[in-house]
Amino acid sequence: MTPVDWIITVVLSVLIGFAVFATRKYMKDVSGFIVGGRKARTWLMLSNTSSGGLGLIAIVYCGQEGFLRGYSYVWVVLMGALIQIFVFGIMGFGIERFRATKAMTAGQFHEMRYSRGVRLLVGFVMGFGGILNMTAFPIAAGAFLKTFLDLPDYVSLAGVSFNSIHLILATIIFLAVFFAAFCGQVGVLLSDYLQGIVIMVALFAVNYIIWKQAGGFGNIKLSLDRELGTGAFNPFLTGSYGLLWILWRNIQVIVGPFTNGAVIAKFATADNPKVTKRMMLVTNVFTQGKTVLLITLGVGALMYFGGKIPDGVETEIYSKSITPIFLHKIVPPVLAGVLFTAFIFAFISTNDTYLLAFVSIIVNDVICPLKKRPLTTKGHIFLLRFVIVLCGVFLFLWSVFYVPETSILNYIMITGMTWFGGGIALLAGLYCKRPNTAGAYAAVISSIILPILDLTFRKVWADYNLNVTPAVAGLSIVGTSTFLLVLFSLITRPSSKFVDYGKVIKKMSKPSEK
Amino acid sequence: MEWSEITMYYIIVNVFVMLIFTIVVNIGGMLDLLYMFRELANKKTDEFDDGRVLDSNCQNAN
Repeated sequence: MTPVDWIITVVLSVLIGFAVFATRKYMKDVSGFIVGGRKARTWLMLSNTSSGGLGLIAIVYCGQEGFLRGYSYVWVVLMGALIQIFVFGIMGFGIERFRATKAMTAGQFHEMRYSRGVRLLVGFVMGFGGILNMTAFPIAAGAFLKTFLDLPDYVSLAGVSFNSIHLILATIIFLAVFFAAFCGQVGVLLSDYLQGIVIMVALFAVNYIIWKQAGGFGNIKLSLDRELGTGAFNPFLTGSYGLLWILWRNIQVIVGPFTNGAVIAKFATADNPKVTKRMMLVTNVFTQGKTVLLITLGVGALMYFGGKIPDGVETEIYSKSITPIFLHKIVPPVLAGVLFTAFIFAFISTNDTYLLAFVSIIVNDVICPLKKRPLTTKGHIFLLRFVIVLCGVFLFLWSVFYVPETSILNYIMITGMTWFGGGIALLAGLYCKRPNTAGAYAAVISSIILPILDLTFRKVWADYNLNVTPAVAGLSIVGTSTFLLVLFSLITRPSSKFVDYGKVIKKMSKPSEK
Repeated sequence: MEWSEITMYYIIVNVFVMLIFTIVVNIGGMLDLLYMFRELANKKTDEFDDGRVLDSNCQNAN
C-alpha cells in the first residue's frame, strides 16, 4: 500500500461516515432504530442484501473454495438460488406471512404465537448464538487483511508494539460498532448502499485484471483442468463437495432465512409483504454473478501459484491465505487502496447489519420481556447502543483468544444450526394450527444442545479424527429438531393462538409500491 | 458438452448479468433511499411499536 492508497481509504471512509452520521435525525423511535421505520422498498432492500452478503467472510471462503475446488461451487450456489427463487421469490413461502405479522424479531412472533417463555429462549439462542456465529467473521477478516497488507506479526505505533491482527480487529470492529450503534437501521441501510458501490467497483476491476493476465476464459478453463481436473467444474465428484454436503446446504437454503436473525430483520424492514418476495426473487439472480466474481479471486491464486500445497503447511491455512497473497502481488497502486477500502467496507457492511439484528434480539426478546415496566423510547435506544458496544468488545476478545477447528464455511453453518429450532417453530407457527409451546421448546432446546456437543467433540477430540463430517452433524440437527417439534406438538395440547396471515397479506398490500 | 464448457459459458453470462444488475440496483436503491428519507421525515413517533406484544397485536394484524 502506497501513501495514495492510504489516503483513498481514509477519504472514502470519512465521507461515508459523515453521510451515515447525518441520518441520525430519522431515528425517532425504536422501530426507526431497529427496522428503519419499515420503509425500505425493493431496490434498497436488494442493494442492502447484496452488499450485506458481500462480506469479507464471503470473500475469504469463496477465495478458499475457488482455490481448492475451482468453479464447482457456483453450481452449488445455483442449486440453492433456484430453490430460493421458486420457494420464496415466486411462492413467498413464510417470508410474506412473517412480514405480515409486523413483528420486528422472530422472538416477537414466538410470543404472539406460542408464549413469552419461547420468546425468551429463542431470543437467547438467536441473539447469543448469532453473536457466537459472528465471531468467525473477525477471525478470518483479521488474518485476511494482515496478509493482504503484508504486515509483520507485530507493528510499532508511537513506540508501543502491537499484534498486527489485533490492531486490525480493533479498528474494523470499532467501525462496525460505530455504524450500528450510532446510526441504527437507517444508517446501516445507507452505509451498506454506499459501501456496496465501492465493493463492486473494486471487484469488477480486480476480476478484469485476473482475466486479462490469464489471457481470457479459455486459458482459465485450461489451467483449472490441469490443476484440478473435472472436479474444478463438477460439484458432484468425490474430492469436490459430495451429495451429502449439497443436501445439507440446500436444506439450509430453505430454512436458513427463518433461522438467521439478521435475515429475519431484513424481512421486518420491508415496506410491505410483497417487497420481501420481490427481494428474494431478484437477489438470487444477482447472487450468482457475485459468487463468480469472488471465486475468481481464488481461481486467480490457483493459476498464479499452482495447486500444490507446500510441504509442512496445512491445506486449510494455506488455502485461506493464498488469495490475499495473490491480490497483494497483482493489484496495482490506487486500485490497491480502493480494494483495501472495499475489504474494510465488506467487513463493516455485514457486521453492522448482524450486530444490529442480533443485539435487537437480545434486547427485545431477552432483556425487555423480563422487565415489569416497558422502557422509555430513549432508554430503549440507549440500551440497544450499550449492548452493541458490549458485543463489539466480546467479538474482539473472542476473536483474539479462540481458534475454530473446522473450515470457516462449516464453522458458520454449524454454529448457525443453534438457531434452527427457532426457525422451524416460526415457520410451522405461521402455517399450521397444531404446533404448540411444548413442540417449540423441544425444537429449540435440541438445536441448542446438538451443535454445542458437535463443536465440543471437535475441540476435545481433535486428535482422534472423528469421522462425523459437518454435513452429517448438520443434517442430524435438522432431522432431530423437526422430529421433536412434530412429536411434542402431537402428544401435548394443541395451541389456540394461530392467526391465518395469508388473509392478512391481502389486506396489507399497500398502493405505495407500484 | 462437458462440465467445464458449460461452467465457463455460465460464468461469462453471469458476469454480464451481474454488471447490469449492479447498475440497476444502485439507481433503484438511490430512489428508494430518497423515498425512505421522505417517509421517515413525515413519520409520527409510535412509542408502542418497540417490539412488545400487546393483547391487541393479533387484532391489529387482522
